[in-house]
Amino acid sequence: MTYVAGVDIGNNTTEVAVAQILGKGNVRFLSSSMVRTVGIKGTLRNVMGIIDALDQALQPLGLARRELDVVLLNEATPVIGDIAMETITETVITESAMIGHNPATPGGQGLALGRTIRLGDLATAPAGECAWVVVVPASVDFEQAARQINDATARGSRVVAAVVQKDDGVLINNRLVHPIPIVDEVQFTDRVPMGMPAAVEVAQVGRSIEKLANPYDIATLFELDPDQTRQVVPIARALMGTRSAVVIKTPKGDIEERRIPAGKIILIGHRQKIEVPVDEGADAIMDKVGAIFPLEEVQAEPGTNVGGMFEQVRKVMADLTDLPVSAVRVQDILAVDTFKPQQILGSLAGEYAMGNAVGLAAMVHTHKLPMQRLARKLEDEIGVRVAVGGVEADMAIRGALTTPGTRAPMAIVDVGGGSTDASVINEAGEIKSTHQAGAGDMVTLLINTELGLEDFEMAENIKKFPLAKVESLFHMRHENGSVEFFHNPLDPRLFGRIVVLTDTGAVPIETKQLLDKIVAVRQQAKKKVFVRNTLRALERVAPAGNIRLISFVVLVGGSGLDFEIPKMISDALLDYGVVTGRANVRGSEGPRNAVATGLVLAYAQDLEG
Amino acid sequence: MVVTKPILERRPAVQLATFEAATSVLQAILWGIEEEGIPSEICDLAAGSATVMAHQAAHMSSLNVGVGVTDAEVVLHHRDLPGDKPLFVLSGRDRSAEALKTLGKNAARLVKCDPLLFDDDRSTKAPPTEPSVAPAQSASDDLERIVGAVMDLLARQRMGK
Repeated sequence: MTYVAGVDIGNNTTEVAVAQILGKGNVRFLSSSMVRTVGIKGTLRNVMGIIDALDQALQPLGLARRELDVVLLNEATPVIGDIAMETITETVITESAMIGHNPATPGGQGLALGRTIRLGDLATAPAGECAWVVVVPASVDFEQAARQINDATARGSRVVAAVVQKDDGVLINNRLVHPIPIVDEVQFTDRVPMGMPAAVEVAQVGRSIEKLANPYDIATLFELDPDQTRQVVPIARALMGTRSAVVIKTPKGDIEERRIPAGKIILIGHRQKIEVPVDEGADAIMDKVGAIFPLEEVQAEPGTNVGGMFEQVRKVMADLTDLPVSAVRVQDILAVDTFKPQQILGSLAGEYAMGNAVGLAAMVHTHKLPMQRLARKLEDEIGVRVAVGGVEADMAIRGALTTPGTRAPMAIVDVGGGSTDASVINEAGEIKSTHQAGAGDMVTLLINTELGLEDFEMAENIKKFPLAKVESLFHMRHENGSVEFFHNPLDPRLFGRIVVLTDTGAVPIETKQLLDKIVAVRQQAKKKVFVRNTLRALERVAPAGNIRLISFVVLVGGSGLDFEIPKMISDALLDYGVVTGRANVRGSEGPRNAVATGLVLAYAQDLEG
Repeated sequence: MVVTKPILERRPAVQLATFEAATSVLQAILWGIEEEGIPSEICDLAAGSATVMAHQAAHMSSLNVGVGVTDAEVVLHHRDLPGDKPLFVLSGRDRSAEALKTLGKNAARLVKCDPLLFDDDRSTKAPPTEPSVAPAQSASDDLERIVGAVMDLLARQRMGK
């Protein structure tokens, strides 16, 4: 009678299964545990995490580490992924020419056309025909500003609109004899050119501007010719959906949408070689990736953005495996189209425009992670024999087959942080696996970029946890519409905000986006990466590339615990008539512990006699 | 400038309860509420702590939001909160015109269910310092700080007497 422990070192978690071996193929599982992986998978630092996980599993059994006969490590998947974002377009305003933003409380409403003038110059401005758009700097308080505008109006000057630096729009407007549209919170009023024709539009509450978001209306207001109208298209586009806007016509006012050369990707197959420029977008890249089979290597044009990203991936992998950088090859990529809010160069109120971007995930396959080295080190530390057991994918499928209600031919899908892995086992027990670039980290990147968060931890939280809107000091409405009440008042910092309900409490998101928009971005990102990659991976391993020929698909690993991924993948596979669900390893562990369980089972199977 | 209305007249409004408070202090709070587009009312209450007055005002307000203003403190309260746990308390040197206006805005935002403003996130939201504008902005900030300091000094002198 012997005790063994199976240990699975993953990118994020280290999992242990402890079992008693009663004879060949006869195993009684006793306990399991899970801790965070310490250090990068495959490095000597992992030992600390392994010992911790072993102790956690042994403690309830009253066993000491010495009493184990053998500790089995997995031959970890030698796959590492990296991600990057390439911006394709960028909006540049070469002369200050527009303001379009959403101050919470602009003043007045309507559309007005006039010439820009400083508030200080209003007193000496000639009365009569000319209409004025007055620019109010932060140094003037609203009462003074309102008085000066009223005085000017009384003298016969026509003040038709105002652009204000501070958040005073409503206050000024409430004190005017003749209300005018006022755009406030404009940071850079000192950059507004004076004496230029300007149009100001403020929409009523709940509406967005109509005229200044339409290039032909801008053309009508400023009497533009067809060529000039073409030039204002980026302005109109950037102003769409805002509640207030200012467009100023400057002599050389010129806005352009620039395409940034992002470099080329070179796809090398067995006999072919295809080059795809990154700025052709994700679909063009993925079409080519799908067309080349088998894809042997992916290279990038040196000296470009994408080239730099590829260099980085190879360097990290080279460090990890003690291989020269030249021996490391990128073997798969996933490209995804995305949007990136970018500050418009030359803007007056810090506006953003949505630039097109391509997100890239790359994956590197090397010969072997140095697991033997890790095994020896662990052996020294705990004084128990340590063996490197079978290949991770094989072990995972053995463990997953302990899920009640499954049988071969069955496929497993493991969506990790860096790669999406799939394996299939046929009736004969033959196993085939694949690794695809792009997984959880890619989704985090997309969420971070599209919401303009610039905060990876927050993006990670948004990926992992549902959202809610705090609607009063005592209740919040969850994203599914249900309301939760609290007996103690909530933190005022959460009030009125959208929060992520992490396992350590509600965290407010610093954004002006609506809850529905954030949910849509999150779900889109997951679909673009998880669903697409699951299908891609299953097609690679399925008999004859036909997913219909697999009867059972089970999800293993941490992503199986995600609150919406299993449903998304299940929806996508519904058309193929496949039974899809999350694994329940040994009927008790859920999607966790598949590899550790498989290691123990394989050991018992291979016992002599 | 400041008009006191009978309490019985209950139109929807943020209620400001005062006891011999400086007009300038009240005015700054009112401006904050006005910019956010929410009605407000002022009532005189018998002496008490600003917190007690704020909670009373919140009970009188049909919008459930009250502000208590005394010479020493300005307090923002909500009807449903425990009386001794107000949302914001401004005392002494915190009471710059800008801080008072922000408190007014927060009173209105509490009604509208908009996110509240905090001093620290206003500083992080400050635009990236660009050489062409930075001097002008810091000058106006300085101006506000100086005005705030002078007002505080005056207030303290008055209290001393």
